[in-house]
Amino acid sequence: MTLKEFTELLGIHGADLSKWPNDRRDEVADLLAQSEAAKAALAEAAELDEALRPDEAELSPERKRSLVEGIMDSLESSETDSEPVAEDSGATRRGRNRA
Amino acid sequence: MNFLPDPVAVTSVPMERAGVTGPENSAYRPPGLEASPDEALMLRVREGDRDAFRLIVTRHIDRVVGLARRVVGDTECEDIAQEVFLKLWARKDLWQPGTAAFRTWLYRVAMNQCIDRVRRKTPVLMDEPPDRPDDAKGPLEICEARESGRQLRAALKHLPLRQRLAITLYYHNDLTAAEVAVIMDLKVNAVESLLKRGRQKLRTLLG
Repeated sequence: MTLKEFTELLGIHGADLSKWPNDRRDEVADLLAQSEAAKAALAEAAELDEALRPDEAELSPERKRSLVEGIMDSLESSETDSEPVAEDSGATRRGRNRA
Repeated sequence: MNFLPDPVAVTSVPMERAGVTGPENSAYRPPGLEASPDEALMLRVREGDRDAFRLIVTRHIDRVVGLARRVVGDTECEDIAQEVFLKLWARKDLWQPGTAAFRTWLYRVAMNQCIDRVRRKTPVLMDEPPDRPDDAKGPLEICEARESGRQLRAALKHLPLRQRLAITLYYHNDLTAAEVAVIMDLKVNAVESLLKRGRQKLRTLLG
């Protein structure tokens, strides 16, 4: 793998190599062992990854409990609702597990 | 990428319950249920097991709220999460073990719910428009959001919807490009293109 290919893949998959396509990971290890520029590119990509990851709990424990209870309480009414469930308008339905 | 649930894990969960207690009894807690994989819980949910569904909701609600917060916004994210789980319960019979990982199905429902909300707010083209200059208010708004989570959410608002979805599913929901492709019903290379363009733009906005 060339440095150019590596930076191209970093731009797509980010610095978490565990999420890269399996067939490219071994090549990455070889390149990183040989190239300081590749290591620097990886470190730079990791900084952006860090900014993109959640850095906070989405819900406080109290809020989470309250939301879960609200959903569970709503199951009864959702089951007795005689209206058919509307189809999603999103474009992503394939296979048997339709959304 | 194999999206099939682990057959051993699924079949190892006891499906027969001892005694007369059942899922309708809120005090009933099958031993080891908390450790069961999602797919095993969904087998119980299909039977109407509310304890199993409560565990599913508890396990995933943070990520669904987070997805909705990043794609739609702060004010509606909890409502969207509620709608997603109620829809999941209403459609529990549609879930089939062995055809897709539960997480993939959940995020597909969540994504569609987010898309519906965004469309209700403003007409949105799923096909991305050509790249255009950022709204002049964008970078300022992003700079003013002092805390990093808010900065990211402010920056995400400046991505086209499909880029925002792909980036959020990939980083926030910790999926691979192949998994995002299944959820978004796109080819992997199309998702890779969305990730690349989204990442480039976020680098500029957050830099």
